[in-house]
Amino acid sequence: MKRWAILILVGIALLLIPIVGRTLWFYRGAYRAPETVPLPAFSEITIPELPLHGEISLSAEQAEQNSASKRVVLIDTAHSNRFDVSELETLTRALASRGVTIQLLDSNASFDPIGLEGRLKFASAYIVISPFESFTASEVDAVRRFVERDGRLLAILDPTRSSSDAELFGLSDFSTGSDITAANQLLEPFDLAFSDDYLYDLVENEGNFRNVFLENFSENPLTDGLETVTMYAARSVYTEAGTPLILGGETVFSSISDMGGGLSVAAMSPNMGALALGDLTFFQPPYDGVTDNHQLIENVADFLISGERKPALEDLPYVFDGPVAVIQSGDFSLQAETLTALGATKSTLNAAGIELIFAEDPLPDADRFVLGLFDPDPDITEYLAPLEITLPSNDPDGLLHVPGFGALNPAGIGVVAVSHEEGQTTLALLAEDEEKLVSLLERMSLDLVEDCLVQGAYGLCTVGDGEGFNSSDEFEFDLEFEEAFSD
Amino acid sequence: MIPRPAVGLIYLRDALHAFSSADMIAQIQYAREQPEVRAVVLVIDSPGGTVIDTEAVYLELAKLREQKPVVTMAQGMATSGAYYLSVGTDYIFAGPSSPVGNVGVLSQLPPAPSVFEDIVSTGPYKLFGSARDTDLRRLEAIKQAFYQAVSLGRGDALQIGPETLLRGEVWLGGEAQQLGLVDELGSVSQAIEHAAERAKIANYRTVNLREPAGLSPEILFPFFMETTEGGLTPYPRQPGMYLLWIPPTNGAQP
Repeated sequence: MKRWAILILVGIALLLIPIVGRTLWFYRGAYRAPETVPLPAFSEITIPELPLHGEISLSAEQAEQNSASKRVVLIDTAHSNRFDVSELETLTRALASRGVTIQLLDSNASFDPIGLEGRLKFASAYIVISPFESFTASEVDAVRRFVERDGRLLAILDPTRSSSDAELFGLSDFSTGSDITAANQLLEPFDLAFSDDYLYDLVENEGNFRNVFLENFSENPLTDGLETVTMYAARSVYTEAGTPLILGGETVFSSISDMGGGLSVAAMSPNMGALALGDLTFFQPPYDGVTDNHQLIENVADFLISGERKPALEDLPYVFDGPVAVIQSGDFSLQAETLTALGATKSTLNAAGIELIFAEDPLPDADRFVLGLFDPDPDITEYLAPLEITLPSNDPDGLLHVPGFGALNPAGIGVVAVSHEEGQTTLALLAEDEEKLVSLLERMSLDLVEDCLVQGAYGLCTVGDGEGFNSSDEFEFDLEFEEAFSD
Repeated sequence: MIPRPAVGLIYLRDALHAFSSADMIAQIQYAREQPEVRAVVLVIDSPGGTVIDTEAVYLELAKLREQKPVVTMAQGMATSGAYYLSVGTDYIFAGPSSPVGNVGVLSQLPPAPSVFEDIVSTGPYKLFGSARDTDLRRLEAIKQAFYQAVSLGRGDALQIGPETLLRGEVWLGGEAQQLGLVDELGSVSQAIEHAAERAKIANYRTVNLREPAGLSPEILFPFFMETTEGGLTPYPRQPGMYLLWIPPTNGAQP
């Protein structure tokens, strides 16, 4: 038994030795796996919800008051603008509720013979969005003059419009230019500039890092009623002397610098006439209903109609706001040439939505288009009185006195004057005789500034032989006018 | 009787898509079932890929780690979804200049819902899946899960907060180590040695798990978009949600 036992033990030992040997050879201990491998709480992660805010409706009184407005807001689609007008529906609806007519500026001259400079003569506000085509120098100047005359400019860029998916994916080598360049060219006279960036917030955002909350506002009618607005991929806007209106907090960064603090998505020009806005998306549903975005849209609509544009001869023939009654001197009989010229004027005014009315009796609420001769005529005297023009027959020396121009020899001169009193605009065309008056009328639809001398509300044109002023023309000008004109 | 232990090698040298993830899962399952495979080294050179394929592999790795140590070697790039997998392992090696990180999600939004004359459906999103805005918000939820995975995987080693990590930057291996995104700079050999140490084995062999797992040789899956000349772009062919790094092209940034 003992021998057998020894043999068994030896056998077991022989079996165990390689096992133990291999175990010792291959293993240095036992791997202790973690009891649990922690995993993300997939089922507990929730999708951030859209923080919708209740809509704000206009009061009946406000709506009635607004519907009386006869303003035109011009939207640019002529500069390769990368947007669809339907994306602005919330704004155009807000404008419509204020009685505003929306017009589109078309790049095709055959569809839009009036053009930007012409349309700015009667528009209250001009909206330009993501323009990828540069503005001409004359367009920039026209917009500058438009804002100086209390027109309103709204420039909107959106960083999502700056590059197409094809460009991103490297599948398109076609470069479409820069909306920053075009927009900043337009905004330069107003001390406003868009940055080539987008804003983001990794700490507190509206569902995505590029959707930023903005809670710092400068005091301005545009920020009335705002506590928080949300922008969905927005450019920052810079101004030196103007007013940054809507600013991000410390965690809102610019993609250019990856730094933040005081970045503004909206800024107002020093003269309060031009507004630069760095986001288009917030105008669109459902984002218009997020935080106080709807209120901001209403405020933007108010801004666009806030200008009090005074009729100026620079705007001829679009100095009227509503229907216009033609009032003619009793001494002036309508001839075929006169009717032709008035027909052309009527067509031109129709493009601005203004109706020209021929009525025997003056219409009490209509604007007035007065056609008269230098000879005194009681039929039109009351309309000419506010213009403070002294006719030759009322001057002992037989001279014509026009404010700003002084005393003039009336021969060969046509006078154009505009006044605005108690909501009514009066445009008067005066000349020595019927032939010259018709000649003056024919130039109504032309750009009067080009070939007449214009000073404020008064313009002098040569009519009849040798129409148009040149350097050899001699007039007795006021010193003040000479200085102004030489500038 | 006592088989020689092995360190299994699983290679990811493609984007994470349906084919590559299925291959990885097969190898992970094989490693889990084979007792002689005592540790696994994930050798990665990938820009990431689809969300669903990344998450599928990540969850399989977690199951494997309950039994065996798993070490990552970021031999080439380990960005986005590929980094997501890395943080689901026990230890991360990277090459000194290997691109690492790019924590975030990207997606091409579906078209805005509309109706068609000849295609009819039973609901506004039947054809489109979801509203564009909902898709955008889902992106945020996926990002949060990604961030949690990084946070859990890296723990106290991570030297940067979410505000930096979630910017989606790509770091070189050396930078990534300083920031705590990877543990060590090294090579595949070092990763294998480290995996063996963790598994407490010696005199082991290394096995590429592809063949033992019964997989055929790798085939090129048409994941990326092609140029008109037939070359590959870094952009996925199909719209969808991706944990993917797309290197900038023509100066454009995603």
